Amino acid sequence: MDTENPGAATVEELTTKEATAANNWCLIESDPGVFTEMISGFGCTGAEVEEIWSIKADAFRHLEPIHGLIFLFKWLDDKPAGRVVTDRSDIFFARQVIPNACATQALLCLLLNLQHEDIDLGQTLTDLRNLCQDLDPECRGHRLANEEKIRKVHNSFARPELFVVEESTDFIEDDCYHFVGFMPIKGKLFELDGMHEGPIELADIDQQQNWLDVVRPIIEARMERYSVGEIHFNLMALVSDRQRCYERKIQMLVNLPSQLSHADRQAEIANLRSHVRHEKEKKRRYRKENIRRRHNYLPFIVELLKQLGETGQLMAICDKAKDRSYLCKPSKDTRDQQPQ
Amino acid sequence: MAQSNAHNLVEYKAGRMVLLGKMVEPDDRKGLLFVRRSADDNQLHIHWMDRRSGSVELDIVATPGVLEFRRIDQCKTGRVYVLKYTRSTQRYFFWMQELQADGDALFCQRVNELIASGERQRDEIAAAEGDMDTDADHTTARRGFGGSENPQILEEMLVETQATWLPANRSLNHWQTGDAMEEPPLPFADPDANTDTDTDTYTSESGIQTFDLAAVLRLHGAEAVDKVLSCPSRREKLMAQLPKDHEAMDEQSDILEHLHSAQFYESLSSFSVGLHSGALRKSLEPLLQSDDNREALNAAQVGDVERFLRELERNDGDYGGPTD
Repeated sequence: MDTENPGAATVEELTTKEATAANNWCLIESDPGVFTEMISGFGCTGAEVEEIWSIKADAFRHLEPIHGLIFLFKWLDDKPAGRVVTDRSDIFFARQVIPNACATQALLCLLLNLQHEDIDLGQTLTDLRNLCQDLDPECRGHRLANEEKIRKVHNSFARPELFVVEESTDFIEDDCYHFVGFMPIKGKLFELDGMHEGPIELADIDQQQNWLDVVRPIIEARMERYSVGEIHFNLMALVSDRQRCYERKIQMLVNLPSQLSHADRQAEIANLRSHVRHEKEKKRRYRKENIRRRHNYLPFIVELLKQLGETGQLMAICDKAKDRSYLCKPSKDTRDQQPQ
Repeated sequence: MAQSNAHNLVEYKAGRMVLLGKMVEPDDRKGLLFVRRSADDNQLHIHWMDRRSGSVELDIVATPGVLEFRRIDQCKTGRVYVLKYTRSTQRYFFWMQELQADGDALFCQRVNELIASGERQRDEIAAAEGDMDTDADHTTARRGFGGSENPQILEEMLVETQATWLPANRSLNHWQTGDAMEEPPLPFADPDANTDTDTDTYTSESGIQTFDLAAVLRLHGAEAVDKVLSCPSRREKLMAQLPKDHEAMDEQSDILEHLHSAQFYESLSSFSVGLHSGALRKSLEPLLQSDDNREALNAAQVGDVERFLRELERNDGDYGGPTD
C-alpha cells in the first residue's frame, strides 16, 4: 500500500462517543473491507466492494458484472460535470445533509438504484427505499440521517478513542474528502453526488455498449485533473459477491451438461475452487482488519511497554535510538499525526 | 521464483535502475526492495521483486563488511540509492518509489544495520535455539489469473510481503493516470566508484532529545518483543488485551500479526503523540493503578516520554530473570 503525504489528512476519526451521542457520523476509511462489511451490516447480501488499481480495460474484466463505482477524492466545490436531473422519481438520490455521511450515502445510492439478480437488498434497505419513494432529495437526506440502523453500521467503524483531544489554538483545518458514486441507470451514466441537488447525467450508454467503456474516460479525465494538483483519490467497484459467483459456476459445471470434455471440466472446476479459496481468505482478512480497526489498543500498548520494562529492555531500545541520532521533529510530526 | 518462508525484516517500494554503458537509467517497473533471513543458510538476503509479476529478480547475500547501501547525491532528479560492494565494482541502483521521501533515510539506515548485524544475528539465534517457539510460516501458493493487472494478485503480494514493522497505510491510496507512483529520475552518469557520499543524519534543533516512540519501537523493538513473547505467561497477559479471535492459530503469531498491522501502528503513533502532549494521563490512570506507577503517571502528565519509560523499567523488582 502507499503511504500518504505528510500534509494529507486521513479519512478517519477517533471520536466514537462524540459521533454516537450527538447523532454525528464518523469518518470512514476508504477500504474495500470496510465497505463490504457495511453492506453486510445493512442486511444486504450478494454484493461486495473491490478496490480498483487500474482503469485499463482488461483490469476490470474478472470483476464483472460491476454494478457501480465509488470514487473518493479531495473535495472541490465544482460545478457539476453534466446536467443535474431533478425530475426523475425513479432514481434514488439523497442530498447529503450531515457531515461525514458521504461514504455510506454513496454506497446506498448505488445499492438502492440497483436491480440485479445477484443482489438482495434485505429488509432494512427495502424499507428505506419504500419510505423515501415520495420524498424529495433533501427530505431523503434527513430521513437517511435519522435511520438508526444505518448510522449504527456507519459508526461502528469509528476509531477507538485513545485520549481526549483538547482543543488547541493552532488547530489546522483538515482537507475534506468526499465519496461519490457512478452507475448506469436505464441507458444513461449518472454521477450520484450528495453535495449536488440531483443526480448528474453524464452520458448516454448505447445498447451494445459496456457502461465501463463510457465511464472510463470520465474517470481518467478526473484523475488527471486531480493528480495535477497532487490530490489523492481512490476508486472502488461495487460488484457481485465473488465467492458466490464462483460457487455458482462450479454448480453449473457439476450439474449441467456442457460442451467441455471431462478433463477440461475437471480442470475448470479445480480452477474455480482455487478462486473460492482465495475469496474465503480475503473475507477472513477483511474480518480481522475490521476487528483491529475497532479495537482500543491502549491497554495492549501499556502492557507491552510494561513488559519491555520488566524485562529490562525499554531503556536499551531508547538508547539504541539515541546512538543512531534518530530524533523526531516534534512540531512537524505532531502536526502530521495529530488525530482529529 | 525464489521464495522462502522468512518474514521480511524491512521492505521499501523501490524501482531498479540499470547501468547502460556509462549511464544509469531507470526501469519503470514498480518494485519492492526487502531484506529477509533465509531459512536455508540462515544468512541475510537482499531481494528485489517486481510488484506486478511477483517475480524476485535479485537475491543478494548481505555479508557484513562487504555490502553497503548509500544515497547517490549526484542524481538530482530523483531519490537514488546504490547497493555496492566495498571490494568490487558491482553495484545495484534503486530509485525510491515510496511517496514520502523522509522514509528513505530510515530505510537506508535500517538496511545498513541489518547488513552489519548479520554475524551477531546468527550468534543470537544459535544461543536462543530451543528457547523460542518455532512457527512454520506457510506462504500461500500464488495462483494465476488471466488479467495482467489483476488486483487480486496485487493483494496477495501485499499480504505476503507485509513488513515486520513498517506500517501499511490503507487510509488513502495514491493514483496517477500512468502506472508509476513517482516519476522515475532522469538518467545520470555513473558516479565514480571511489566517490564518498554523506549519509543522512538527523540532528535535534534545540539539542533536547525527543522520541517518536512509535518509530523507535518500530526500528529497534523487534528483538525485545521477541524476547517478551518467548515467555508464555507474558504472552498470556498480552493476549488478554487483544480482541478475541476464534480463528487465531497460536498466541505468538496472533500477537505478532497485531504488532505488524496498520491499525496497531496508527494507535501506537497516536499514543506517542498523546504521550508527548501530556494528554494521556487520564486514559493511563486505570491502566497504571499501583503506587509503583505514580511517577510514571506524573511523567505522562508533563509529557516527559523518557522519564515515563524509565519509570516503567524501574518497576522491575519482581523480575529476577526469565520465568515461565
